[in-house]
Amino acid sequence: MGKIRVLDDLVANQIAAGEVVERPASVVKELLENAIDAGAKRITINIEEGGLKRIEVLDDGSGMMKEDVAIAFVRHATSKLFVIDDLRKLHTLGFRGEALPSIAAVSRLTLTTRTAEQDEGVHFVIEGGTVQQEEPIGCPVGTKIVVADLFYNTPARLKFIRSLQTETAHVYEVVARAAAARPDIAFTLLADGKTQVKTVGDGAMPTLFSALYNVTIAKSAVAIVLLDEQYQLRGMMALPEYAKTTRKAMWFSINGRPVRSYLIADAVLDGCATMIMKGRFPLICLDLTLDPSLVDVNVHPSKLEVRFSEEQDVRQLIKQAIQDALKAGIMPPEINVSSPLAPSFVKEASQQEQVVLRPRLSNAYSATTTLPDSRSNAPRYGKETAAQVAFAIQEPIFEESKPQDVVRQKVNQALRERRLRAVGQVLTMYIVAQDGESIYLIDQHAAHERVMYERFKQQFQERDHFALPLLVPITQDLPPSSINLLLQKADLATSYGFTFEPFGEQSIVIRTIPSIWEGLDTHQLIDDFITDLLEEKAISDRLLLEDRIIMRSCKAAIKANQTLSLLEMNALLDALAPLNNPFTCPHGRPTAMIITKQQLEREFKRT
Amino acid sequence: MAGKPTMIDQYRKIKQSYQDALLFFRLGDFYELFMEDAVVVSERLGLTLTGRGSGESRMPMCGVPYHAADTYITRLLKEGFRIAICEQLEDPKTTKGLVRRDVVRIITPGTGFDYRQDRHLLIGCLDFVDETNAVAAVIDPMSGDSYRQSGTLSDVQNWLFSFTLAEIIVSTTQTQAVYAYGKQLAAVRQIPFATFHEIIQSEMGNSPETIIKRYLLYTGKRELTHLKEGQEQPSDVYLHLSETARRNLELVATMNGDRKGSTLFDVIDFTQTSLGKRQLKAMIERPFAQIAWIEHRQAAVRTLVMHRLFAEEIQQHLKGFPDLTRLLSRVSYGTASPRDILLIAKALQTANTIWTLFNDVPLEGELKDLASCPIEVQALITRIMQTLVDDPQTGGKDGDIIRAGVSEEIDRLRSIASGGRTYLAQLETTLRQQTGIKSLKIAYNKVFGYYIEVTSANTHLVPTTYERKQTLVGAERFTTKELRDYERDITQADEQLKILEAELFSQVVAEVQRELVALQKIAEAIALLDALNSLATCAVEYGYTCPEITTSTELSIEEGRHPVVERFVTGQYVPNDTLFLEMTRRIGLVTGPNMAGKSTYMRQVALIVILAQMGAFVPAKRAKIGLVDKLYTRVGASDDVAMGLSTFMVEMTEAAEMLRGQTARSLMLFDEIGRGTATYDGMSIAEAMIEYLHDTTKARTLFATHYHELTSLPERLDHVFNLSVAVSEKEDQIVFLHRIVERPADRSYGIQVARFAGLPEPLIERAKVILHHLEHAPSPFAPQYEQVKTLFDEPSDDNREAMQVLQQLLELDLDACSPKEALRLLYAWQNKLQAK
Repeated sequence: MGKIRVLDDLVANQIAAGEVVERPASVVKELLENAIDAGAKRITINIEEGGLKRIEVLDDGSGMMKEDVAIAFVRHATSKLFVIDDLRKLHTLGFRGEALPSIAAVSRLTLTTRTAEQDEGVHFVIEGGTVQQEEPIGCPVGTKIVVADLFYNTPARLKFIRSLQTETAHVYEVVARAAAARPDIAFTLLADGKTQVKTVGDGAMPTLFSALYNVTIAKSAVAIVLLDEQYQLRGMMALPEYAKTTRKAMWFSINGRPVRSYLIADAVLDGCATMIMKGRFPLICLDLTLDPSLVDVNVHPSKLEVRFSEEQDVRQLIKQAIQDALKAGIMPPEINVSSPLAPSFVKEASQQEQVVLRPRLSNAYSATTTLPDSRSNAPRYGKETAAQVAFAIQEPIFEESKPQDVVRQKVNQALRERRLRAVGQVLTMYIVAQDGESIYLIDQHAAHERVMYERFKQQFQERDHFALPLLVPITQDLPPSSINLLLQKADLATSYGFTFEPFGEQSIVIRTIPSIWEGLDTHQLIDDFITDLLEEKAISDRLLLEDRIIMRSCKAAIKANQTLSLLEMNALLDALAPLNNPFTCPHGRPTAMIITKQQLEREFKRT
Repeated sequence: MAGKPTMIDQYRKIKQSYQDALLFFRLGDFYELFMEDAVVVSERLGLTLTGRGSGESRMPMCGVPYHAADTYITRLLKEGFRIAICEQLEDPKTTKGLVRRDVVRIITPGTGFDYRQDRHLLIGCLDFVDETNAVAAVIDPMSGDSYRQSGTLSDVQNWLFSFTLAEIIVSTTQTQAVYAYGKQLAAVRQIPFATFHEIIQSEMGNSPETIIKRYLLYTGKRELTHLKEGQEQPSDVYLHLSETARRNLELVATMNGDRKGSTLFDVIDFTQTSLGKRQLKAMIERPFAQIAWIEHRQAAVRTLVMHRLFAEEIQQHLKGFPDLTRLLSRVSYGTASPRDILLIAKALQTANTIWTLFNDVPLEGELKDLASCPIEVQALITRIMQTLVDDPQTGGKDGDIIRAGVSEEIDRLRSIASGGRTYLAQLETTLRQQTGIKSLKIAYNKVFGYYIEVTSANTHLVPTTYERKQTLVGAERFTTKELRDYERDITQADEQLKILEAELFSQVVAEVQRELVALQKIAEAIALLDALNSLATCAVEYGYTCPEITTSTELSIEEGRHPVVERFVTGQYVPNDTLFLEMTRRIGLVTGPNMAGKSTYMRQVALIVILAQMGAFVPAKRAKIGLVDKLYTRVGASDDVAMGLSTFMVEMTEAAEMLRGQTARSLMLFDEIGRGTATYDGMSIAEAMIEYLHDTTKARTLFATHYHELTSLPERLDHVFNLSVAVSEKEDQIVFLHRIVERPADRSYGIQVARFAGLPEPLIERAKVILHHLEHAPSPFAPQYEQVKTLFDEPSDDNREAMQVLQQLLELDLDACSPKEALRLLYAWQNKLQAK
């Protein structure tokens, strides 16, 4: 039977490539691992068009000998692993030996490398999986690999790749992940000329954090350290207020190798417990160093998934460390109720001052080329912590405070059915209302602003405004240069119903104003309007100017410290009802908060 | 012209004192120039040339509007003109007859810093008695910094031109010799030269420093409080860099003016403020030659490198920091606007914030000194912010700059002015009622002021007390006594206001003046902070390390890189080591093909030394620098044709200077000495030079040469060693490896490089043949070779064998040779010759 044939190398490699080289990011990952294993201190990655046109990885590691290059492109060759036994004692990253030939099989590859012992470097051109050209070249110690025209000979794979931006994003993830695991290596990622990642490689966590995020976050981040006989945990976490809604910013590594691990992620979230909002994930870089025999990294070809032999121990360890770090890093304490609509706080009657997050400054500037030896201070693994601590969160930095849909529906319904009735006003700022099921707190000013905004918008759209003549003309003092500018824009102003003339060297007299300002505080509105008109930008965009006018009008709405009667309060609630978006004021602040019956029962321990 | 003096007389009188400048004569809203000035300016600026007067006495005139004068002044300044600004000193509205005028400012290429934001201006002045006794001074008119040095004429001159001068002045109180010399120096270097006409020597003495100071007083026409005490710069404190070295190494300026971004300064510049940039440039131009100072700065840079968050935060605060030095100079020159003063306050506030950051980090070295600069300026900041409005629109003379609530009188006048206006507006309503004219309006225009306007239809309803002012097509305009009274009150109040506000403003300026010295110190501190931060940032970004400076004359660099070239070769720059030892390695001979990196390597060593002695980190894995006192380069073939010298002459002159001034601690770089003359001459001079260096000071030297013969020198001179650029040969193709190796070049590779460059193949082949000729003609054999040449048609490799045979034959001692031996040899030789 001669039907089964041995596949030639190229085809075999292409098949393997299917498994190992899914997309440009996989290529980058493999090349990065090689670079790191070669002992590089500075690695530069340059991609063009999502990596499909060109991927260049340049490192200052040990370089390769001429003879080794040829072998490296043979399948299953690796310098990193000799016997399966070695697998257990493995400390290097890339051991499968499948990557290079697979990559070479689906791209046009060039490699330039030189070892420290040689004066002469060597430059290889590899196409179709075999060496086409080899020549001496002058180059620094290290390796430079250029992978061009990825998937040029496998159109099927190429079709799978749809968006260059997505590919670039994946490459970013790979590099950031690697960088987060090794603060002692300087990574630079350039995508089409723009710098996406640039770490310094000084070994200090704060610097790494600052490079991945920004100085402010890095300054306030807390250090995570836990050292014991079997495990060493080192990392840094941003304050919970900077938490994101995706898991992507949680970078973990084991023995310096980047990994994804639900176990670690869960443990971290456990450790954050009540300090972080539901559905949010902290910004964190965490490395766990342990004996390689306690972890299995051969689980998946991508080498990203891992299995621990002592799962519970690891989980507990991490949770503990996170809790300790948060406790040490932030000034406590306050009990709070976190609401699903938007965070709010119900102050305990006893607490007077406002609670503010203040991280310890010394964290921020600790120049740690070596991490502090906290063996003496580190809480022993396994010790029980003190009572739960929580603290008040101020409004989240990310404006993604969308109310959860279910609750939102409820409020909407309550509003429309006019079941919402005012109970009273508190602090001359908030209306307390109820609908028989929950308690509502409504910011009177925000709510009224929204009402007015919608009304004015409607008026403007229906062109239902006109110029209101002033009974007594108003004079306004202005420098001559401003008057000249204003005169140039007189026509525009008139179209809104605002007319004026010069009235002295340094003043103008205003004769009519927009009708929507009727009954409002005209002086401030005039001031603001003039400022807007003088600004170049506003003029070119009519809609923008319109919006500005409306926004300002809202400011003339019910002020925060105004006492309202029950009648007025209910009128406001009724006015709020038919609107499309009653939950935020035009400036984005929330108008209403809800405390459900269930929450109350929970807090009062009635469940 | 008899009778009262006219404006032209006034002009002529003033012009007499300013013959060498363009006189900008203020006439109303314009600066006018007359006669030759007008012609010149209209040509240069492309402005219309008009005239004044008629007939014979008509003179050319050309003018620019007052508001737009700055751009024109800048253009003229760039072309090297001097400009005298003559202002009207009295208000024309209040004076009878000719308004008093005088020159208030002279703008010269050196003092016009407000018009040249792109350049940093410095003024220099030199004085000497003879070759050994000279003194020079350099002053920065903007910052007030003042430097001086004394010593031999050549030393002082070299020091003087280590600064990039914008103007050189000589006073008429100095000697004729000094005048001529100074003028020539300036001409050669194309620096504007000015003669300062002084009648008598002042009591201040006649040092260059005081001359410049007097010049500044003369051009600024006022007392300048911001000029600082001169600092003597002893010659052994700073690394001595020859003028050519500065130019060749392209420290702050490129050799041919173009190729932006490729100087050392460009590469390490991460400063955020113009203050910092100037400071960084000064640091590069003047590296230290004292270990204590170097380490002092290194400590500061190291702190910033280790505490990155601290450094980054400082950088954020420095972004957008105003040019405090420039603002303070305006205060001193009396040209500060309210905007400027507010910017000073904002700058001080930022400085305050930055100073609070200093508490978070252990400060070392220069950082520590910096942080101890006193910064008690809160009172001044408050005073400024409370007195001036947030956004003053005017230049200070048109009012509206003082906040409400600062002065009762100002508030009162303002309310009269605006109250009056409100009253008038409201008066409209009243008058409408009174007259029953519903369309009556009170309005204003520049010509008539306030008036009451009534349409023609209603004119009959107008009361008789109204006075008609103006008639229009459809309306009539009136005024009343009441209206006029109010108008007068308002106008008077407006004028009073302007005067009062200007007064209050000048009080604030005076307060700033009082604190000027303290504020200058803050500006200096910020400049230094920015520059230090820049050094730290580039160290971190580019992967530099901290060098060790020692007192020995060792110099070892591990994997050094050229800081500028490596940026342009993105990741592919090949690092190289450098090693000079006290005993066995002092003079390195560098051979190898051109274009292979010899010059880059040598420049790299120089730049690393400069960076190290600046107190910065260096592009190397490790560096140990034995302190260098003088750095000389003889690189490149720059013909100073202007001076009327040939390449070779220039080379020799420079080499002479180098050999004269060198010490055991100096670093010398020679690149291809002897190119401009005959081969044997050049080679002899080169060899003699090396021997000279070897036998006298043994200064650390890198000697790149194309004389391959010199590679045998290490055999008889202990301290000389061979280096070359490694080259890989593969079938006649050469590949430059850019690696420096510890052996002489195998061959000269000149022919290969020529082929590489593209010379025609037949030419290359012929060149090879000729080379072979020359290579195989060692002196003893020259006559023999002639004979051999006639025996064979074409010279070939066989000749080598033949010549070996011939040599052996000649050397054979026939008397000591037995017949048997002789026969054996004959057989052997025949074999050899037949083997071809």
